[in-house]
Amino acid sequence: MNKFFKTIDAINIYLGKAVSFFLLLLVAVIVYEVFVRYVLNKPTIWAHEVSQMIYGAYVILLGGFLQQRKGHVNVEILTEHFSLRTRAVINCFTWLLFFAFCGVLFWKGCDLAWDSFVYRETDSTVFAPPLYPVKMMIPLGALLMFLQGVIHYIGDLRLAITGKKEEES
Amino acid sequence: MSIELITLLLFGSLILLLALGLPLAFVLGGVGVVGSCILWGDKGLYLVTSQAWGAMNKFTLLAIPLFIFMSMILERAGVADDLYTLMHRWMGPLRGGLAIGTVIICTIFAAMAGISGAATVSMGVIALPAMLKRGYSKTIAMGSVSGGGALGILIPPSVPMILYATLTGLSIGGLFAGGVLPGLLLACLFILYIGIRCYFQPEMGPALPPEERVSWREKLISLKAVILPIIIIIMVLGSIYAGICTATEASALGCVGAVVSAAVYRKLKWDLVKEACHRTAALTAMIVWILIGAYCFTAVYTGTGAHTLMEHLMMSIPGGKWAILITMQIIFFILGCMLDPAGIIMICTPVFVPVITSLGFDPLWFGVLFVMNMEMGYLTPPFGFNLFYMKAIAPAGTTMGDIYRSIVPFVILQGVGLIIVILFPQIALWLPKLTLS
Amino acid sequence: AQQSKDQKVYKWNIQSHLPAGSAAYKPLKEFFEQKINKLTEGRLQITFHPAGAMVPTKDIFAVCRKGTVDGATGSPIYWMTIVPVAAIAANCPLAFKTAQECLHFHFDLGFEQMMKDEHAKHNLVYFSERAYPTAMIGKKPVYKVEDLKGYKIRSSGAIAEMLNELGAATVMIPGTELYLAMQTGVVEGAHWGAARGALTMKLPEVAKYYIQPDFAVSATDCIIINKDSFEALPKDIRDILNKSLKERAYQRTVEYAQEEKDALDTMIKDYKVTVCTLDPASQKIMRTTAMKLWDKMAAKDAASAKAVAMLKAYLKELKYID
Ligand code: NA
Ligand code: NA
Repeated sequence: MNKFFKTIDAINIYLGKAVSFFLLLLVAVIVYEVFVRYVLNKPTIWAHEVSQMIYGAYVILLGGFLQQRKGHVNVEILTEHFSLRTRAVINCFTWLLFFAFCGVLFWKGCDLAWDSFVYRETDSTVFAPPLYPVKMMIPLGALLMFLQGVIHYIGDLRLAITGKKEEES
Repeated sequence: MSIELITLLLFGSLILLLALGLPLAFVLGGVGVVGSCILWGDKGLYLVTSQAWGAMNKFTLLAIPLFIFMSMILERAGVADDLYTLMHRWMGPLRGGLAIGTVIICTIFAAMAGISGAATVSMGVIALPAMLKRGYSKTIAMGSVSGGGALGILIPPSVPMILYATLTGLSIGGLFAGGVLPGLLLACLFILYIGIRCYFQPEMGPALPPEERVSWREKLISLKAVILPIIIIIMVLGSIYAGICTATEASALGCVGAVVSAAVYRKLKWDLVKEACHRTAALTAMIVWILIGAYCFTAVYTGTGAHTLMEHLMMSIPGGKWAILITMQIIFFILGCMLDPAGIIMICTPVFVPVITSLGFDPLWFGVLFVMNMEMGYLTPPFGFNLFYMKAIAPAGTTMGDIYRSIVPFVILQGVGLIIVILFPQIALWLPKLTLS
Repeated sequence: AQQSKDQKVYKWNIQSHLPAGSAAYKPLKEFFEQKINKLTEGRLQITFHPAGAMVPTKDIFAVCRKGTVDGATGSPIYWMTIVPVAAIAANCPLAFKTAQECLHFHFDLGFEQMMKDEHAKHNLVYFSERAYPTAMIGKKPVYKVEDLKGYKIRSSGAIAEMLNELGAATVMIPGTELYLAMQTGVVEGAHWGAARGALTMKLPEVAKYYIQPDFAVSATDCIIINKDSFEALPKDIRDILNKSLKERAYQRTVEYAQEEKDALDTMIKDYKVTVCTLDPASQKIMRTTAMKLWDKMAAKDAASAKAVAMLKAYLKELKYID
């Protein structure tokens, strides 16, 4: 079990770090477009769509990375008065919504990506890039976040049942 | 089920879940999922994915990571710190001077970005550590950033204004012009407040200790610290207004500018860029996942017929044109606590604007009032987005309670600004008349 | 029991691809929310939402196919890679000269039925919304094709390909940034519908030349309805929808032509816009360029080939092409 957790953690950390460099690519593409459009008066047909795609994959894949860092912000104005165990008990209920959200995003995201793949859907522009690679990032991103949430949830579950916080690994 | 009851259930569960400590993104998204499932069953669930795909395709959101990355580099390369050192030297004896400077920089930032989140997080990264390091209270430091950051949608360019204009048929240029003076008015109110409060309570924003004050010669020498940030600002603003590139593209140029200035500072190392990339990724994900959740929730609420609620409300308002106008502002304010501006525009404008026009009010002025009201929405709990952005960048140990407290005076000031523009419509209308004629 | 079943009230959500402020939105909303309600004696109650209210415009085809919304209005350009023949309806530049010709092609020559058949394969019922022109507004005049050289134009689809061939530099800029981009000169021209659309986007405030002829006259807007939702309706309501939507296409085309005229007058009078018309030689070059693109679309699948052949036969009859 712990090995499984460590694997998920590692995937989200390394993949997230790798994906975070997409930003440099994004800057490069946009600056290139501005350069060729303004200086050479020859805009590309691809830069706008490519930058949008980089951005799309970037944000959707980073959900798990952020969850690994427990970076999705919340309000603890009420819960800070509760004991850790009470908080864990509450989380065991409220986090079901997290699973509903990620689960649906994964399930319907597979649907969305599959349809797009079957028809080899492309953007309706002159450049016409295929859309399915980016659409496939939706179920992937949802899955990564879901699995990271499972780790978090099991931690809370243990704490709620045993009253003991698991050791930080 | 009536729309009144649905509203109560949806908003009630939002507040409850948020209070129980579930992260905001999952509160919004989760309630969206459950809501769409109850309302439309299995086929309704696809809406959630569709909204996520929509968020991945919003061009205006590209500015978020770009602005954050620019600020990260400026902060890590020490440019930001030098800027604040300089500010502190120049405004040495002035209490609260750094927070005043922050509001001014926010105002300039607002002229570069069309959305609020980008400016708030960027300024949080740059200004917050600099102010806290020099003994400013959290209240003043965080309040000035989240209040100043919200100016992004009032001072042009502004995405909500474009939305409002295309929905109501107003001139975009006119509405942009209408936002300028109210934006400056708010900035002035913030500055006055900070100045007065820190004058009487020096511990909120301490002046530079007398032994650290320097001669005019040294002040002038330290000016070289601002040359680079000023060049970046000129690059970004200039490229937008000179027609070289769009507002979103300009933020990419800002990134290049930031990297170049880090190189000039001899701080440009791979580790610095790497670290900036990772932190930018985390902050961007935080913002965009909240937006995905918010889009899902708003879509469900709109799909249940939120505009019907607005129609009911309109019919139950007592007569008198001022009563109607004020009620609308109150509705905006309440919705602003819960939804994002784009959602409120969708729900309210089709119902409100025809009424406003038939009462003989100027719809352009009403649009400016609306955007000013939305600025408050960015700060008002429970769902003020700027509050959550603050939480993500605030130093460890900052609680949501601290943040909620920090924004109170600024929300009041925004309210005062709103009332001033209601009483003196010329503040919003003078510039558009000038530019349109 | 049959009686009570027929009195059942059906509630639909339909989302438009048009923003609530656009001129074409209000008549659609009135039609779906009030007229249909009246015609069906309250048995079909539709809520008509503006663009983006429930689902992103870009995903409207999928959302409607899956039944998340019961119906949608859109431009078939969005899904022309999934339903290739849709490109012929929405994306054949310089084919028809008047909206009446376009309607004749759809409803009398059988193109509308082809569209219906192709969309039925995707669980959708298809209706053309109206035929209307697409024309460009820009910051520089265009009288000859040479004037297009280096012109930075916000464009998409086959029109963009045509403009590229003619030497223009086409740019893709999202609608929310279009006004500012035009104002500052990041782009110098754009087509957003024709005169009416340009006014909606406030482009005449910042661009003063209206370019003729129309790049296209086509049924670029359509209504798609989820087939399951449609077939769940009793036959008499389906008949009402079929009949009234067809009548509406004709009626709206006529009304819209008038709106276009009024809009152009407004542009000329209030915004001091100049109308530039390309000389006949240039128009001919433009059509030749466009026809190469028609052939490209015809190669996509059997239905597209048939549709383009139909189109060419009709245009020959009209003596527009040889
Ligand atoms: Na702005
Ligand atoms: Na709020």
